[in-house]
Amino acid sequence: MRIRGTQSITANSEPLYVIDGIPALQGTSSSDPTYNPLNTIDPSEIESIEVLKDASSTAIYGARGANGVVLITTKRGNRGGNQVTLETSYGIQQVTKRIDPLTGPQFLELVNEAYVNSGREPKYTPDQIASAPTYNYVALMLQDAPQQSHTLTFSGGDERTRYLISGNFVNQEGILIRSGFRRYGARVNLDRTISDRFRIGTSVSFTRMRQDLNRTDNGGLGAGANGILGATNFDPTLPPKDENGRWNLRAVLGEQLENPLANSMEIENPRQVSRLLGNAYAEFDVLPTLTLRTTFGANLGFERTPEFRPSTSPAGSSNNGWASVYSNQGLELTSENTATYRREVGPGSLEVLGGFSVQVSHFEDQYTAVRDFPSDEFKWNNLGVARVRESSSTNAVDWALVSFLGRVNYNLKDRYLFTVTGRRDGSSRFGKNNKWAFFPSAAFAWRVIEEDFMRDQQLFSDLKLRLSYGVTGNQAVAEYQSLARLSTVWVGIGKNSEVPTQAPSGAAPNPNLKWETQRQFNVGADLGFLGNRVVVTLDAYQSKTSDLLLSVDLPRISGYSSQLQNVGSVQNRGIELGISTVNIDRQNFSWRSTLNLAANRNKVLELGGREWLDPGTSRYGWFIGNVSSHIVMVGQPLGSFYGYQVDGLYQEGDPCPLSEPRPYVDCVPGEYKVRDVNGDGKIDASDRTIIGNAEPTFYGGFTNNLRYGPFTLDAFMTFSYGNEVANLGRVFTGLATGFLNESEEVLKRWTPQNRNTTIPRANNARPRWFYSTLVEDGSFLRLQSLTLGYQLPPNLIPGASSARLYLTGQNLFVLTNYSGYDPEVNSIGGDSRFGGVDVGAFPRARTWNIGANITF
Amino acid sequence: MNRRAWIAPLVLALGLGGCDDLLTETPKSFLTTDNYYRTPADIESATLSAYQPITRGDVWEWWLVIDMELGSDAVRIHPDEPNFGTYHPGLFLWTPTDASVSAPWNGFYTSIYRANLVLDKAPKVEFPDPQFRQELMAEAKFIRGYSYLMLTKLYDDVPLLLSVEDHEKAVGTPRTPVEQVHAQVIQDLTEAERDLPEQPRAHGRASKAAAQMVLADLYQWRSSFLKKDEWAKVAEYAQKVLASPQWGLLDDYLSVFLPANKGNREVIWMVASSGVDGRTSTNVSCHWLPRALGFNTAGGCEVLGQPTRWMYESFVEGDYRKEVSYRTSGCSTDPNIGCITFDWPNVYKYRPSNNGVGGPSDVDFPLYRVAEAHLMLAEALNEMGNTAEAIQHVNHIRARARKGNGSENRPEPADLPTTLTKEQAREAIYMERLWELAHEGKRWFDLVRRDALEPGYWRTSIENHDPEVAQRGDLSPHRKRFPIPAREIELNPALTQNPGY
Repeated sequence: MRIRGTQSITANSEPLYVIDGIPALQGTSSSDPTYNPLNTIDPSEIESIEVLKDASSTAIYGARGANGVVLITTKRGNRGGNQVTLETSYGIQQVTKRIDPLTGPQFLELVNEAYVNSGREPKYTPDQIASAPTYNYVALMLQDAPQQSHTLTFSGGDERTRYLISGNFVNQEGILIRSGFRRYGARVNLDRTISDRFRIGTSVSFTRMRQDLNRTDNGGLGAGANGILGATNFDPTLPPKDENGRWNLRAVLGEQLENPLANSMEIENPRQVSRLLGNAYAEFDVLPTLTLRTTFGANLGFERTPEFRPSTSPAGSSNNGWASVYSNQGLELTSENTATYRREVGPGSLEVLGGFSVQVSHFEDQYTAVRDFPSDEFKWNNLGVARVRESSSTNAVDWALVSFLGRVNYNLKDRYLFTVTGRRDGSSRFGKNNKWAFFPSAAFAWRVIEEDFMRDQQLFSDLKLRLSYGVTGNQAVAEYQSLARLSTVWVGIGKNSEVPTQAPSGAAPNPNLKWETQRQFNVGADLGFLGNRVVVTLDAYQSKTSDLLLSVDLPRISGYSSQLQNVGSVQNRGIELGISTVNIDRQNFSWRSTLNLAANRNKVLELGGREWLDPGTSRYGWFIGNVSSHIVMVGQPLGSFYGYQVDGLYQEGDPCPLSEPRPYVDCVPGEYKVRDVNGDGKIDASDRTIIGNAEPTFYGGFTNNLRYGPFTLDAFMTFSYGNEVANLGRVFTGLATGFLNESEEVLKRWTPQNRNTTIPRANNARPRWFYSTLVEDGSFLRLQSLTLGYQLPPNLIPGASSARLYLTGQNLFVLTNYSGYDPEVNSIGGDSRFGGVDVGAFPRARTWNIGANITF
Repeated sequence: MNRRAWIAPLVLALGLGGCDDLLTETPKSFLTTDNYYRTPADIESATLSAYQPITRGDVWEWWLVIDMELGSDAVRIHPDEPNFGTYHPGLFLWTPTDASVSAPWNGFYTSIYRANLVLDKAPKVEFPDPQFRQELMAEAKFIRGYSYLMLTKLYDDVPLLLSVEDHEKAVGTPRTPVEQVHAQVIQDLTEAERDLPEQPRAHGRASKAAAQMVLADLYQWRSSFLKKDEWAKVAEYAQKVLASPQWGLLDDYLSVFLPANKGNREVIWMVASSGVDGRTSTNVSCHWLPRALGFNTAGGCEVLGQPTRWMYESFVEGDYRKEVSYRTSGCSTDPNIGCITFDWPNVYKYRPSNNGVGGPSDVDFPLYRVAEAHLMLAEALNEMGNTAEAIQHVNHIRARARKGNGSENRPEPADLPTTLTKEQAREAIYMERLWELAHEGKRWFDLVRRDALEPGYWRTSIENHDPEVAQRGDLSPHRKRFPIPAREIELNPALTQNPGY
């Protein structure tokens, strides 16, 4: 999730989630998507989600507000009576698209052609080709899968006590075989008014999730490919099992591949996460004008992710069984204490808030891996029986954040609203010389509609203008980065032994490390027309984040490779438009629409004197010529693709613009015309250039809600325009190199008979690089959900005060030109330097759900 | 009562927040320089850490092996290798941005930094046994000297950093002329030779003889590539090694390399492969074993493994070294693959105990061994005009090969006649180095340094011995030197690039 573009380059750009007033665990690096707290909350528990975007509203979250803040409030009990609500649904997830690989004979022909075109002898005889069988591993790994979800809620209250108790359960199988997701949780929210002046309350929730990975997630490329990409690449002539019913473990194509079906079927790799989120508050009115509030929150997380690769699986066969257990425990304690003073001052009302908060965190993890088991029965439940201890490690991390905050609101005649906030934050993560920083902000809103001169006009039913400016910070970098760290380095010393030694880590210390600082200016207007049947919200913003926490390369002769420094800046500008209309509002029939439209322009302004930064090869670089797929360049948006520009294919008779053409690859009919960007007469890594970007021109959503008597119809569409996707998986499935099996598109490859095509000829010698032909338009329009509901007549179900049946379809259609499974992908996590990459991303399912909500 | 209830959490919060101590980071899972380098054990650990980069992927576990083997005329990559196009050394197409070019630079300078840390910190630590400190500092000087020698053999002039302060001021440091770097290498290694023990403290660590081998290597490089005619120094240090009772030739050539025979008296200094864990083991599976055999390397990554036709056929028929160094068939533990015959021989002189299956390899990679001392001495004597005596040292090596597995008496390779001319003897010595030191990372240096004595030798050797690659690749003369890594020049504008790049 990104709010108003990416504000940071390497630090975490995820927003801060605040659940019932307590900041949730926040990941530290931008490539760490595991902490999305939304995963741990059942949607039916949520009362409201508020997204704070402009600097004035986020400034109160100071240190962590730069990426925006998402306030999640869970449901609480209502006064009066008791209620029982049951929400239940069943559904089926369907495969929306299948990209078939070549058949056996087609693949062998491709290999032969690729060999001959690279100056080698054909690999297969015509007989071998004619008799080759076909096993479609992609089809074997996809399935339709059921899902169900249930929530039961008890809530209610009287004058002094309110309660809500709920439990929920979700079970999803995945459309890739052996993948799945399960979650159950419970919540207790209590509020008690002890006296007129004293209130207390608590929110406690427990969630347990299980996610089955089982080699279905996207892995690497080539031999490292998992799931659907691995299935595309695998040998289509090799049956999954041999005549004795044992898995065929491997195929030797251009690389040696493990049988992806066997790995998915045999390997067990469930990720199990438990989370306990609790807070208690007490609120005391010292005076009618002065309220003290203290909140204490605890956030506990436990994860246990074991993996077992039995000796019958390709990945475990040569180890005679392999198992590992990873687990972690995290604890965050938060104490927030505020005093609020309210009184009338002159013609307006004044609210002053002051307070402080402390947050401390402790995190530990453990990992053990062993191999060589006497039996596959033990799995990970008795690592002691394994003959070889492969590795074990533990780690502990602490951090703390101390803040003092203040806010003044002055409301003048309900027309002029002034807000000034200030916050002083200290974070353990920064250098000893720069622990503390101050983040001020100011906002002004003018409710024009309240002015006397607006009384006679008919056009506006609401008019409000907003202006804000503020400074926020980002501390979301990993701990201990400022210290002169030593890392453990193992050295082979002794005849068959290794010795642990201590040596400086690759990153140089930086005692001056400090906060990233973002300055954001926001101007907005809220407009209402026709008695607020049309409401328009318009915002424009510009933000600049400076002192970016960037890993700056050092010459290797320094003994280090990099240092985390505060250099450079990045800018985001954008507009956001929301239009809500009540199209029809009759007794029996209503129709409401909401359109949200946003456009953001991201630009790197400065990189500490450098023109560009190489973000590194990530996990895919090795397979595309050992270079990075992206670049961070001044004047360009983050997430720019960096590769080779292809200007069509060479045809017979085309002149050769290169002085040093590569044999078999350059200036041969049917080959890519790779642009010689630096004009040195040869094609090499220095000819790479920017070939695309993942940033959309605009994006948004469109919602329509219709009600006709007891029937409701809700449709939600999302769209994005102008964003590009780097379909990097096609390096192995769409370049007609004949290295591994490829997808059907290479049937359209160039041949002397088929010249009007964009797919190059078969050629085993063509490097598998990131060509511009792999960059595709990722624009799409998706029918995200369509729900038909029916409100049952009262008393049809005895005792039920309300009952509703519904049928929901999700992801019903996507209009896109993207050739992969789905254009909304990002295989490299949340790292903003690597946007829009598709490497065998998990395909998105179409889902049909039927459900009921019943309240007693 | 009510009033007190809200005080409690407030007090707790104040207790938590009342101090800056909360913001001071005290890591528990790793050390910092503030709490290390205090005891002799710390200094010894720091010394051992300086060996590590030389033994890992940047240098002799991966990239430098690939550079030296594929950049020579002796080894080619199998065209089925998926990253064939990435291994530019195989086609002489490396550029200043290639990992093959930057990796050895990075590795050697990391070793140098760690060695300089030892030399900086050791004098400040109290040693009950000052002799121990002297030895550790000698090891650091050995590592620093060896690293600078190797850097000059690859890149010519390189920045010379000799203290922790030099590293802190790295940006702006220009390249130092080779002569000055070599003067420092000589000083480091003669001091190391003086202070190092006869027998290394542990397998993988330096000894007096190791320092002597590096010095012989240095003078051999200077005499041939730099034409300094310091052959007498080569002979002096080679003779010192050969005179030591600690070291000598084994009877069975193959046994020199077998894991079961680690610590033998022929291998003076090596990359010690633990076989315990991948992080401290040589990458035999990826370098030398055929991809088709289904070794447990996530894809069966054969990178080199294959001698050129010329190399394979250059051995005299019946040479034991050819018989044990290559194989043309083998078996996988995977029944789906079984036993297969290769389309071309694969190197088989590095034989891990586990046959490359199910875990890391325990085969050492030799860096200096006694056989090379004989051949260095032979070369020096020949260049100084004492051809007849030189031939005797070559014949010493050939006689060992005739012993086969130690108890054989083979006719080949027969003794060379002592009547060879100086030029014939030089050719014979280089060929003997090719066979005896096959796949030990020596051949590229031999091609390049002989080219200085016989201009054109480097290019014609590759053209004649590997015509196909010579045709596809780039044999411009500047490729006899490595470029300075582009990243280093970019981050340190004081550096200049080597001509041609």
